[in-house]
Amino acid sequence: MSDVADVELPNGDLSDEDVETLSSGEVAKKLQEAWLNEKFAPELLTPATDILECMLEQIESLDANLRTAMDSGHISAKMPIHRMELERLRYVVVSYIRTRLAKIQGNVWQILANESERIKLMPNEKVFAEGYRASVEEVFESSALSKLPGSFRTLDRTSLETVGRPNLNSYVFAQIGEHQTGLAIPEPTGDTEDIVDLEAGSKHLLPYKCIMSQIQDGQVNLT
Amino acid sequence: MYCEKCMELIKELERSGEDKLPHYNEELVRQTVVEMVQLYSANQEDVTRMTEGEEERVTSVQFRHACLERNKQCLLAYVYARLRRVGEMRWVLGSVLNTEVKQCMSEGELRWLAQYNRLLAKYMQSIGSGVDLTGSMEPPRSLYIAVRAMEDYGTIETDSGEVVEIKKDCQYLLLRSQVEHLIRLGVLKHIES
Repeated sequence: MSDVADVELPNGDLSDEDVETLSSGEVAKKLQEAWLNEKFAPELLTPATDILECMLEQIESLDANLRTAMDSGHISAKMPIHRMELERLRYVVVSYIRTRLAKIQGNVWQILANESERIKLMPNEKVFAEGYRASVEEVFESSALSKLPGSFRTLDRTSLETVGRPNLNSYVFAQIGEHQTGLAIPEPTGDTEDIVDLEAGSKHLLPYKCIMSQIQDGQVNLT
Repeated sequence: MYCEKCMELIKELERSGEDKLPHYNEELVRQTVVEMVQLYSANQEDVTRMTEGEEERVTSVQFRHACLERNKQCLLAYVYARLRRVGEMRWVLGSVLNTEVKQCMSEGELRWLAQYNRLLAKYMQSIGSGVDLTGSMEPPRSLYIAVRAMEDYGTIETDSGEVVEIKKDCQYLLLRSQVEHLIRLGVLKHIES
């Protein structure tokens, strides 16, 4: 992704909460990493809230700048390029949010029931998830449960937690960022394990479970 | 044989293909519920007899209980799978579904769709202005795309304030972001050059 810093932005540096100043190009790169990780990981990941907010602000201001430039008749040859950049950024942001929404919808009972999953939800996602669960349970009630006899009328939420549960053993392509030592990779037959070292910069196909925490820390990225 | 009706519901969904929504089978659902009520009352009777000493009825009670659970599971699976499909259609076709699709939906599903639309709208608002989650479904390959109108659609207003009238068989060169949803609806067709 190209550096959009040559367009007039409120300020050239965008900072996130850790008081780490990133250039707009770096923010875009981080967003792309977060987006790809979210796309290829079978489970919901911790949200890149700061990057997302940054990006949304940037998209808004880029859009506004382009509109004022167009309205004032200042049509330059660079405009289609900036517009294309805007469309591309917008696509990544929207795709990221949509992927997360799809995962939430697919596995809503498990996500809301477990603390470790629930904290991965952004506040507005939590509102959405709770509303979604309630709406589906309401249809269960009206279309099926209310008509059933006796003890079958109740909804057992724990049994619903298996619905749409992500397969953490699914294979993913991983790009190793930091050198990994002593990683335990199970054999396909399942009974033995291989202890391997993975070099920085290498790409591997392995079960998601093996590198779950490394993705969380940013040491490994999915491609 | 027990549980045949509920399996028929599931088979119906399987046969129709993943993105199609068959008519809500009110009749089969009703028959499944009737079967469950019969099984349940037979079980209640047997349990009373068992407390009076007829212990050997326990196997038939267990069997009917298993059937009851299977029936309930299939019913819920049927309802849930259909809701998922309705949700998918909403993403592709927009918040207002056409009458053909609506006729296949039950009242509960229609109510659910309205609620889902509200949830989505609230969520989109919370992200910030100018973010339409149903836009940009594919990575943008170009800024403008050439499209041909498949039918008379009326007028649309572009971002720059221009008003364009969509007439059947006319070709237009428009901003991708403006016409994406019309392409999905089938009103416009992308012309590959």
